[in-house]
Amino acid sequence: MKTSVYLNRLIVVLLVAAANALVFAVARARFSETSYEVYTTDEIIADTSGFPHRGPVSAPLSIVVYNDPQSRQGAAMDRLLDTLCVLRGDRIRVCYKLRPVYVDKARRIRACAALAAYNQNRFFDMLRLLDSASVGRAQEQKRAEIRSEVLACAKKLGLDMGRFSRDLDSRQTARRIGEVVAETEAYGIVVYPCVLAGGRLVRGLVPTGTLVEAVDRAVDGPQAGPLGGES
Amino acid sequence: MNAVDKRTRRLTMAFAGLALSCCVSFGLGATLFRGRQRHAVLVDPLDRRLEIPAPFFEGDGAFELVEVLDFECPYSAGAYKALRDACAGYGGRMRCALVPYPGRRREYAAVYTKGYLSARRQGRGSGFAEALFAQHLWRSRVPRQEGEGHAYAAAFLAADRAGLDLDRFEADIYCESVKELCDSALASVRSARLRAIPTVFVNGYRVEGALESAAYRMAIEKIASR
Repeated sequence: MKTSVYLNRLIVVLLVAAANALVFAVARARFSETSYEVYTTDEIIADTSGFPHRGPVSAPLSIVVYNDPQSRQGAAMDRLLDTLCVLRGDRIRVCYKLRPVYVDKARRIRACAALAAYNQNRFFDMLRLLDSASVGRAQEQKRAEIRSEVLACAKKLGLDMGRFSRDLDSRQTARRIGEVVAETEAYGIVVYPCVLAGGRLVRGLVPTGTLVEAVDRAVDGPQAGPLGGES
Repeated sequence: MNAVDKRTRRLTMAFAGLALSCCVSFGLGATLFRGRQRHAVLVDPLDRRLEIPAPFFEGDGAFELVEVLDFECPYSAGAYKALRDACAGYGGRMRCALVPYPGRRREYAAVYTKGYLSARRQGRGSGFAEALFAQHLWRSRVPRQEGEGHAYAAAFLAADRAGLDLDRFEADIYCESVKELCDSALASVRSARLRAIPTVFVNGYRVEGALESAAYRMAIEKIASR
């Protein structure tokens, strides 16, 4: 008899606590305080250490690419960068930062795979294989399907599969992607792929000429102020 | 006091206690422990200056603000209101232009641009824009082929509500020179690689997306300080 009374009281207390927690959460969200921070593109400080690079170390300009290997635009951007490296290879050093548009585990597995391949110095080969695998595929692929596709790519490249699997699932790989996501969110970068070149952000897929022009302006032109340094 | 009364009293007390504790939780959540969100706004410099025709501009201050909005977009309506609040303190220091952009590739929406410019000629551009936004055009389900007739009807209704001289408005809206000015303004904003509607160009910097007035104010202050 006594036990059932205590049980009833416990249930009541738990219900009251749940109701209070719900009300608290609703009030917290409803009356949340939003603060804004405004950045100009020349204020973006991109940490490039530990990320895949391409191009000579002595190049006068370092550009940073935020790209999603999962998307078709990302694949097109990789091809665009190949062209850029052919045209201006001696002037630029490209840093690749993989930024999955969707950050859930299933849809960032390709980015993890590219970084896992980077640990075995095969980042660009893996990126190319992933590009060709991703085109024409639906975004909603199941995680297992993508994983088997990624493992097949790694096998094709002749990677150490044990190490690759470990790196693919490792916290360190997830953390590095998380760092890129945090960096883009901190500066309000919302369009991918995009290229940061000399304090200017080239958003989205652009014609090759536009990207070449941006690189040339960053290397040759003055950087002060808007409108190409006119004011 | 019988058993039923006792039970009723206990239930009342329990509900009162629950209501009171919920009120306390609500108060704590809304004041002391309220959520804090941080949003970053990125503004980027333009490659070349926008060539917006002078009739689009209101005011003659040194600080230039060009709003590219779509009258059939609810986010543009929000951005328009937020920008009015954000610019309130600038008064005569600013020259503002509104370029209505035909969103979703609907060419008939250029009628609104012509209507806005015709209203500007009578010095009632803002009143016309507010009256047009107040019609909530994004809710209408007009077939595409009837779009132009509907757009003219909406423009004339807005002109009427803004207190314009309708005869003069009608003469202006069909005028070829107004069309040329509109085409020139649209070509200019297109050349700036417009990616999103609404977009605001502040003194040679681009601010994309619909933001709150506090965010616009901060962006304008930041650009003004450079």
